[in-house]
Amino acid sequence: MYTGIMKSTIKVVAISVLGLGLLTTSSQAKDYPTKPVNLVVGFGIGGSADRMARSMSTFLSDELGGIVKVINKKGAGTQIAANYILKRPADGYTVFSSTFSPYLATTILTGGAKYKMTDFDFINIQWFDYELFAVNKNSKYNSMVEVLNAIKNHPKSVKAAVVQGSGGHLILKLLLEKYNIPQENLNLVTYNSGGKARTAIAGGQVDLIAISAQGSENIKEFIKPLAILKNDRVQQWDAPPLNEAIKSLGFKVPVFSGSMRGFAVRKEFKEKYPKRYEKLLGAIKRTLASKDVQKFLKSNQIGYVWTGPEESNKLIDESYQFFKKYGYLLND
Amino acid sequence: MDIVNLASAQQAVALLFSEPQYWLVVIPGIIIGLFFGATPGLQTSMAMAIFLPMTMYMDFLQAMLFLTAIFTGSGFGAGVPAILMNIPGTSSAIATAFDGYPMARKGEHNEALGLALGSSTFGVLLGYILLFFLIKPMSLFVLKLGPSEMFIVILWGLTLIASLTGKHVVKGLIAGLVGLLVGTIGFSDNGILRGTMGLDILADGIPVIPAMMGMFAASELFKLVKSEFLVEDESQRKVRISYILKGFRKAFSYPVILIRGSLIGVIIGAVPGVGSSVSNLLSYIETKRRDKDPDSYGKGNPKGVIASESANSTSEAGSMATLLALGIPGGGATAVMLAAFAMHNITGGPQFIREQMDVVYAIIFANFAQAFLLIILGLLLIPVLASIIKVKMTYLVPSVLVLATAGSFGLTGNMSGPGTVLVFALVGWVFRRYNFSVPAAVIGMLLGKMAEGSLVQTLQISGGEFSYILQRPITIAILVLLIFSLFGSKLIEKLTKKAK
Repeated sequence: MYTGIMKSTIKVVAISVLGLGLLTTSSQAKDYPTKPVNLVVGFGIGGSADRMARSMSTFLSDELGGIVKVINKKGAGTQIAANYILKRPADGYTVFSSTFSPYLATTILTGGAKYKMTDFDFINIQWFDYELFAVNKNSKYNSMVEVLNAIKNHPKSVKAAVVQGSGGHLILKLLLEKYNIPQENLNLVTYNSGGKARTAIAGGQVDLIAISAQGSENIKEFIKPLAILKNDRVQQWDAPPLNEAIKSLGFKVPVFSGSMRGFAVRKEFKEKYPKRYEKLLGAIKRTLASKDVQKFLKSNQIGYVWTGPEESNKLIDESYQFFKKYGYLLND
Repeated sequence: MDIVNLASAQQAVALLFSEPQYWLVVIPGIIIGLFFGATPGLQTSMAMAIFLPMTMYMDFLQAMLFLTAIFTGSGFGAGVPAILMNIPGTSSAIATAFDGYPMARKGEHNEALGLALGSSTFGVLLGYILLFFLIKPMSLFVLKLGPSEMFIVILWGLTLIASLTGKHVVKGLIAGLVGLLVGTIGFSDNGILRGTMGLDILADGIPVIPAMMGMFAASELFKLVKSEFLVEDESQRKVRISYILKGFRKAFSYPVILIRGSLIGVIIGAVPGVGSSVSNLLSYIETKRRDKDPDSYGKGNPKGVIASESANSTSEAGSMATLLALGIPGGGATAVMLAAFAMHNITGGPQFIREQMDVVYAIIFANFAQAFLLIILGLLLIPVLASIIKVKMTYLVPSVLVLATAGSFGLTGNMSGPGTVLVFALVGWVFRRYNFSVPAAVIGMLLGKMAEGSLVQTLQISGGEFSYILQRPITIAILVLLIFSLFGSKLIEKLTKKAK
């Protein structure tokens, strides 16, 4: 009796899954792409990079006229994904779609990666993030100057949370160095995910956090923002730019872009398949120019800027040089 | 403390019954979850990620009902292969296999699956009832958990290794230690590469789930090759709804075990990341320890299945608490849900709870209903799943191996998954052959890296000052519980002797 019901249920489910599959794959590809294009994300499911890739894949497949899939190759701070990209042929069917800065630089500088930044062609950075400095809302500190002085004058009294190898991690250590504070004065806790670091500041287990501003909205009620690593104020956070906040201390820190997310391919792709390269570039550009897509990405708090290959490669290189110059701070 | 907001609760009920389409997604969701949970190597988070794009076309509540339905289904599903093939579908079903599988070998597979279904639905239900009353305190409790608390909880999980070892205590500890060492291969939390012997493939460490499947499953299958069927006795090789129902009912004749398991599940399950992996073991060990006949465990004692399954299904509610109230995901599944939050332009956290309490309650109420739907769907689907016992070993062993290998490929996305399964199948076989405890090694692997990470963070946060512990009441409390669970009975014995 029940097996009959089961069989028909299974049939229904199978048919509907198949049907949905067919609906999404009505590909009319004549030339590239003749098979699915894989967007490779260097992080797990559900993170920022993954959300960007998944949101873009649907729109990109319309523009490219072929299937665009997302695969996750997480681990080793995007080194696994980067190696995977470089092992695949440079034919436009494997596209690196991830958070490139600072992780890729860190894998080269401290993670023992064998590739170079120039092995990749960063065709577009669409999402720029910046670092936010904040204390727990019940904290006795009300400014960056107060926090830094507390670290300086009362060793081991301040606890801070950062994501290992992130821009926030580096800039916090740089602040201590520039203000002549011994690094061991600060109890610095390194987490491997933003979520854990944010839980720590929200729960008051640490006093200070330096972390990507985007994605920190959910803990807004638990924190007091003190500064942002930008040249100008922003609407979302009621806090001055970092250099303005520490003006009275008499030194400045370089302002660099925080996390940069977007698309990259192997650098040989452009030479080998110039037509495909143009097609992929055009598809990304047209996707990001669409008002509907912009509206959708905006509501999902995902960046949607068209930066272009030239500028993107330049920005990535600048960020890399910055990490190269100050990377020694992360090695102790 | 907040009490339940009745107005929101009423709105929630109205909301749920305003649109019949809200319920249309729940049944397919549970079925998807069951399928992914019951297939070794397929994970809850994977199921959610695959079906996440579909939620774009739903409104927020419907999307959440769909995703939590997958969550509920897979929570039970993971116990099915644990019982039928000694392959825990996820790390949260390890303890289910301890007694579930021996039961199946004895021909009590129907009953064992019924027990698991009963305990799972009870766990889901109780977890969500607690969530309904305590969502705010629960989430604030999670916020108070720092690295030192995490470390003590994981340490507790690790001390359980010693209790799992049976006759060969030293061998069990060695197995656990090997697991710990294997767990530290790859990048440490502060970015240092260790133990890879220069192999790139090991840079990200040993993938734990494929290793677990290899150790448990493949080594078991090698042993089974000699037998013709999973259940030796032909008269027992039947799938009977009436027996499944009997098992289902039997689960409720042990209310103490059920409630204890569920409470352990909620409290430990709320600890991000380690929750359900530790809670099922803890519940199992506690139940075994308090039993008059602890030696009957591991040989097919139904109470073992109840203890494990009630604890691991309660973890769902624990992780939902942090997601809804704080917008912080504790694991892969809730991370995917957070993506669904973003898709619908919703930021989880205190504001969301304040302004949309009706939606939060609606999600909770819907999960009450899901628990009952799980019973119906479980009873319909278990017979199909249990038909495995009618398959000849000559067909079953290769197909399960293929399934596990394919599943692990899906997990890692490259050959390192299947490679791991095969290597650890041999390791597991050697372990068994010489009486080294396989579960101990798996738990060592699973918790080793986390233990290390949280220990390093405890040292960082305290600046190496030991007095830090004194500022952490929860750490001290858990530590006391831990010491008591290890030496409590002996201490009481000594004290009562002195009194005499």
